[in-house]
Amino acid sequence: MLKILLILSSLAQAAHWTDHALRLTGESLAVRNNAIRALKAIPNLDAELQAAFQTRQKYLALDVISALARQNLLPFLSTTLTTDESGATTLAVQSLLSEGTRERIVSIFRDGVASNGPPASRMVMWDTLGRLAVAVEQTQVLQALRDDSFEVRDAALYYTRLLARASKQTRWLVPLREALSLDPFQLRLRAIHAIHDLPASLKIEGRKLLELCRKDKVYLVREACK
Amino acid sequence: MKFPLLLGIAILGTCLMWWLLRPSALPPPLELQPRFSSPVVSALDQKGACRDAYEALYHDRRLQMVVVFGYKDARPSRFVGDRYERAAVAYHLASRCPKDYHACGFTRDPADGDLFRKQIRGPDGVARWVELKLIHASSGPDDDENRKDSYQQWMSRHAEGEFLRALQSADVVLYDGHSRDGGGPDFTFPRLRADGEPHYWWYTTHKPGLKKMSEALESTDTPPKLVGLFSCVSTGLFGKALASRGKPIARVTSAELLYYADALTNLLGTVSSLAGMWCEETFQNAISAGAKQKKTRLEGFFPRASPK
Repeated sequence: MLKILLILSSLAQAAHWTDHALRLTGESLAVRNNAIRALKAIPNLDAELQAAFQTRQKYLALDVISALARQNLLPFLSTTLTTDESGATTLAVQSLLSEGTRERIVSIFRDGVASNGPPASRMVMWDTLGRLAVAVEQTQVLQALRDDSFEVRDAALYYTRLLARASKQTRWLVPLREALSLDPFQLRLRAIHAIHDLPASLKIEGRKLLELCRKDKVYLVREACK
Repeated sequence: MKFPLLLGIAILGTCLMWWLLRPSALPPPLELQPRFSSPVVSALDQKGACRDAYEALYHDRRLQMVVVFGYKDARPSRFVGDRYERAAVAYHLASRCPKDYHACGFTRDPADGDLFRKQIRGPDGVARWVELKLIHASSGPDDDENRKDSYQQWMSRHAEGEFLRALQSADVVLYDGHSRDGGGPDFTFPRLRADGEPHYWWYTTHKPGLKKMSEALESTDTPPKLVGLFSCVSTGLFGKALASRGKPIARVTSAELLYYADALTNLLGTVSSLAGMWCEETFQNAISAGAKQKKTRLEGFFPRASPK
């Protein structure tokens, strides 16, 4: 019996890290926990994960970094954010948030939203700053609302909604007002819903903004504006 | 005489440099690009079943392709990923096309963030427009927050409505999302059990998304010419439902669990295949990401054995 267990154990260790990584998603909690245990037992895993960044296994490597909370890889990950076209690396950085890493990650993301980095990466950064209720300069939010990328504009609005709800400050009505004149129409829709969801203390001010969308050229926007 | 000539060359050179260096003209990231066999075999080079399939697909001057991401929660974790996956696909579609690749070179409509267009040469050599709608279902990346967000209700209704309407009128419909263990395509936050896991028993019993999909396909005279379901085990769970008035619809489905990045690659492989009019073997290779065996399969699109 012991022999069989030893053989099974060595077989599990012999499996490639990607085999275990595939079991981190879409499986039961027990399967996921077994996969995490097996991954932790792999020697030189960090080197393998970093090497995978040059291959199609990059997404699996990012899943492993998140699942194992490999905070020691944060410096490596942060150097790759400028080429993170899918936003997946930025998400992995975000998944490493803890008391110990918060300051560093917030600083990286504050710099990132002001950069010309890939849109999906900046989108994740705005979302994360919003979730953490980290206030950035209003001018920066307004600038993001005029970004070339729809995704960045959308994320800046999502951020504004979260900050308005968390801080209850009237200054967050300024980006919402600005967004009611933006194209494409999906941005105006998001802004209207953010106004509908404002906290009670901002409701009256918010309702005044809705006057700006009553005659919108898009029917869907007019409907939401009611 | 020399000065205008030099000025012209300078202007042309500047334009060329601008076109080559503009940010949106970067090639698509390799990591999501499908692999495809070289040389690529397309309907422009072949007659027979391959050409026939694309002549039917490009019968009109405009091909309507609708890509809908379902609500991709990761319960029991709060993370929801479809908004980010759509962002990655949008970036990919708007990037500059490398040789032989076609899920790229699209232009986004400035007034509609979901709409992308691209002009291609049809199987008869005449220009066609590919209109691609790219829809997603979640308002944000946090399931708890989405449940408090009025925009989420709008997004869910919109995504489901676009999906069902597309099943009745678009040429190609591609879904990338959860299968909900047979419950069907889903565009809203999941029903949860007390332990925070999705309520799979409820989905398996009621099959809400599957019923709506079947009803939409059964009630139309103009079903899609191809439906792709990039969701786990979609071949077994939904394959039989991909029919309209008793006639099966050409489909791309997955026989097994599907890793999210492979689903994205296979989806882009399908878009590239259709826009590039790739013949069967090239098409099949382009939708086989991450597979030792070809677990994502194309069926019924090429009516007869087509040239390899």
